[in-house]
Amino acid sequence: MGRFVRNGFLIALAILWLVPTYLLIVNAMTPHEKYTGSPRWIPNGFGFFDNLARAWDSAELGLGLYNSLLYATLSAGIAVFAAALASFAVVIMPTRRRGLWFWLIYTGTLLPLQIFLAPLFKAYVNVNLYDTQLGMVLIYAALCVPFAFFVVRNYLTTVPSEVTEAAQLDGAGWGRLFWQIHLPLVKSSLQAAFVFQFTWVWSDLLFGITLSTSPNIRPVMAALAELNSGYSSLGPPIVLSAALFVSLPTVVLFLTFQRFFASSLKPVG
Amino acid sequence: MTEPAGQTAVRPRAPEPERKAPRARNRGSNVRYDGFAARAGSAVHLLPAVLLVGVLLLVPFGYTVYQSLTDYDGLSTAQFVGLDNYVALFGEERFHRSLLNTVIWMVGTLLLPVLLGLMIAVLTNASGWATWVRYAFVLPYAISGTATAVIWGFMLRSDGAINQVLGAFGLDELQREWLLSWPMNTIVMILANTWQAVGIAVILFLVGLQTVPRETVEAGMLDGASGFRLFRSIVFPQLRPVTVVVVGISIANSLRVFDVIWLLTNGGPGWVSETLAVTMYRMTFVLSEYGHGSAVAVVLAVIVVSVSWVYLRQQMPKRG
Amino acid sequence: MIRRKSLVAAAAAVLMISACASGSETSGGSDDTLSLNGDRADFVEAYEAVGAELQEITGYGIDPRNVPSTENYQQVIRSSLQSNSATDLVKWWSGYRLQDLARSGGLVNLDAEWEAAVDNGWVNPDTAPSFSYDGHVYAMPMYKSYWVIFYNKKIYDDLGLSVPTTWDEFIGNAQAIKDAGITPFFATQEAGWTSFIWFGEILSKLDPQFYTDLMNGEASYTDEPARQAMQIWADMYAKGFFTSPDTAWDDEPALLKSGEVAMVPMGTWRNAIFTENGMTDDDYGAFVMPTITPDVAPSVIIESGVFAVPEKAPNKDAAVEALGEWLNPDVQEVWVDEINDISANPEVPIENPVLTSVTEQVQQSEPLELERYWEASPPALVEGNVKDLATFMVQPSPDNIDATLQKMQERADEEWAKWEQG
Repeated sequence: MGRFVRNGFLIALAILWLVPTYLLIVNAMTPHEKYTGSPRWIPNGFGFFDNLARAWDSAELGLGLYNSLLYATLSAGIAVFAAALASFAVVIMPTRRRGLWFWLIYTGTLLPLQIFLAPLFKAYVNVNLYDTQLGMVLIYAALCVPFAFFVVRNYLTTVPSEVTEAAQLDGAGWGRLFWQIHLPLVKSSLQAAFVFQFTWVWSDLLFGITLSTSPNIRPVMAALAELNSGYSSLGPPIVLSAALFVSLPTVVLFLTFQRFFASSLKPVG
Repeated sequence: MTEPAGQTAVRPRAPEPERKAPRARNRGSNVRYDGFAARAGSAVHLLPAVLLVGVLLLVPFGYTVYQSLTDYDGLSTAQFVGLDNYVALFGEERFHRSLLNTVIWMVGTLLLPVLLGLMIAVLTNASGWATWVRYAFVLPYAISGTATAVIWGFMLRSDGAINQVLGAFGLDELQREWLLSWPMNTIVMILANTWQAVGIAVILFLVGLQTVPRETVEAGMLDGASGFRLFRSIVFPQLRPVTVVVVGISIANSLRVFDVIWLLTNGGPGWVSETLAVTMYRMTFVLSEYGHGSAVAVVLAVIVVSVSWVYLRQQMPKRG
Repeated sequence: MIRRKSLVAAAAAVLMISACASGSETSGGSDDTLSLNGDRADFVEAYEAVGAELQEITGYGIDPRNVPSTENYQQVIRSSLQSNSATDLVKWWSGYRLQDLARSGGLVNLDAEWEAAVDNGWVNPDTAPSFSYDGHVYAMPMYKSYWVIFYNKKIYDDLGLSVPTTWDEFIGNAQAIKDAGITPFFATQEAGWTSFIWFGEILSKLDPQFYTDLMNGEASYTDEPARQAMQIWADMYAKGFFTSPDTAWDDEPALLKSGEVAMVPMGTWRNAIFTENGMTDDDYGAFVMPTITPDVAPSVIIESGVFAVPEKAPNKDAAVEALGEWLNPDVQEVWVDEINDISANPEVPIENPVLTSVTEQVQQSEPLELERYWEASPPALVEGNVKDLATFMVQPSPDNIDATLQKMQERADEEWAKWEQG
């Protein structure tokens, strides 16, 4: 009985959650010339690829996709690695002033993002990082470190101290402890942190439009933003079809990791 | 997992207070280490993260703090004005509304994504069809902000989907101008934000559930615990490290929420739905009052950092 | 062994990063192209086309960049004016927004180029104040948009309506459209700035002199004409003439095209979007809104985007030279053909029939040309007042008029004082 109520609740909630997703898909498929200015519930034709083609042409989405892939992979990778190193230092190693280091790094995720824009823009121009791929990778990596650090650090604290002690008794140095003992133990948190940070970089718009401008540098969301201004002649169906399409990589990534999460899950309760 | 984690070991470890390296507190303290070498090792490990965050995030923040003490307008030379910007802010009625909205957002974002995320994670943590239901909640997280804003505009506007549905079911009296009146607009935007943000909580809780040792659960079941009691007394305590992460992230995110508000209401009508992040953006980017905007940024930063600090200090107790 | 592994990883990362590209549009422009920064992606193709034409005349082409968010764009320009990252040309706004930049000393004086254009008959000399600060010209007009009412011709035909020439006909048409179950007018506060449109239109058609005085800070928002304009607006709201104030501005072309809304007040620059949405002059037309009473002098609101040259532009002289030829009819023909709007050069012919109908009406009635609300007062004042107007649109009851105008005047006092201080 309890199970029945529980499942009913879950399904109702899921349906509620799917409504916006459904609207997104239906309206992305609406041929743009048939859009009347209010959301459609039922598809009236299939214009998805036509919409997408128009978006693709006017915003050079291809280059944007390539850049976003580069930034998201590199930055999330660098950030997770730097975060793992730092977590190891503040949890396992006998580092002094752990609290200080923790807050120093963690504060990075607490500050409102908009405050970085003006100072960074100026600084980037002065050191010739403005509108370069290196500049984008660096800022995204920096922005990803604190969150990844927080996640990895907290998982690392769940590793029993006996593990460290036993390995040290076997004569393992810090390097071996890090690479061969602790990294494998917190692998799932590293993966989770990577997936989240990849998604975050992929979805970022703010830094993309502030620190880059050329089509061969700017990430895909910045390219997409050009379609989504009131001055653009392209209506919502075209914007939605492009927005849906550029979300596909992160959706695929999530689905892949879903399977990974699901397969290693054990049923509880 | 190579080793089943004993229940006592699955406790978060505190960021320890800055005092002289307390030997007895360190893990592996039974192993001899050479002070200098160990410190050098720590430094090497910390360097990349500290360098990235320090140079690219903390230095710009320091600059913002400085700017909040000036009347900089982005063009002319800045004059030092002391605390004038702060005094002016706290005297403004609009700033009070912005503070209030920020608090509402924080409460809403703490309650909804965290509780819903936990609930969904537990309910879909079985095998079979529930795994598929999970997609409904996780996918929005992967959908781009542009699409989210457009689609929630579709949902919430006066001629939008929600009112269409209410009209279709004859519930006209429930139709509202969702985005046009306060506090309704803030509440519906919190819901829209939850729609997207809950995915991350679900996944983190699922990863957390993964670390709950089967033996512990089986032991609990042998003791006769089941259903909610099993969850509350056996599973939930094991989820504490991940709960700390999810709540910590929610605090940070709730206070930084910007896109949803900017794209759906522009902080309006008028100023009624602005939060501190939006106020700061408007002052800096729209009005070019860099000094004022920076002051708001500093106030916001102080709030986020102190709330996080209080929460994390309490949740990650020092261990003797 | 492990150390080597991390070294290899670090080396690989460094290698990947150092192979990174820099921007094709920002890394050292060539000598024969001028970089141009703007916030309108839909202009980029037109910039390129007109650049080709400019190159034939001056030897300099245009290499456009774009920042997709207007807010970010403004900040990028403000920052870059003081550094050497400025582009050769920047798109900006006229009026007080231009003065805001010009008085910081960051823009090049274009008096000579303006004089030359006037001598050639390429521009109306009366419009100089819109592009000047302290008596000197600092920018050249990109276009000259007239603010008009676009209307759906099919709705007008179906209901047997004709283009209104008096206020009573205008309101009568709206009532007939309303009675037919169609929303007569588009109005929204969703895009932020759009809330000033009806206020500006009604006030300018009620008392154009007062409108000008109010914009220049010489009249008060609490004066009678402003109150009367708000009253007229509130009456129109009471009659249910407007779309909901949270209607998406992006939906406006689709709403006009599908006939869900009959009339849209907007600058003629909107014409480009209507035509790109597949509308022709069979589908829509445009007229200047009639004055409230027949004895009021006819007026039309004008908007001109501008180009300016930063003092620190890398190709400053070339950019100035190019702007000297900007209003050349050969250049303007290419340009207005691309952007589907009206040239600031009165000699340049107009192809689009809807635009032609607008210029014909203007030639016939010779209205006063007024500056758009957005550019006509100090930026901080405008940005604040559009928020008050937005609040009014949500609660457009006559009871809110005085409070709204009171707040707007308080802000005007404060912001004018700040503006005079510099």
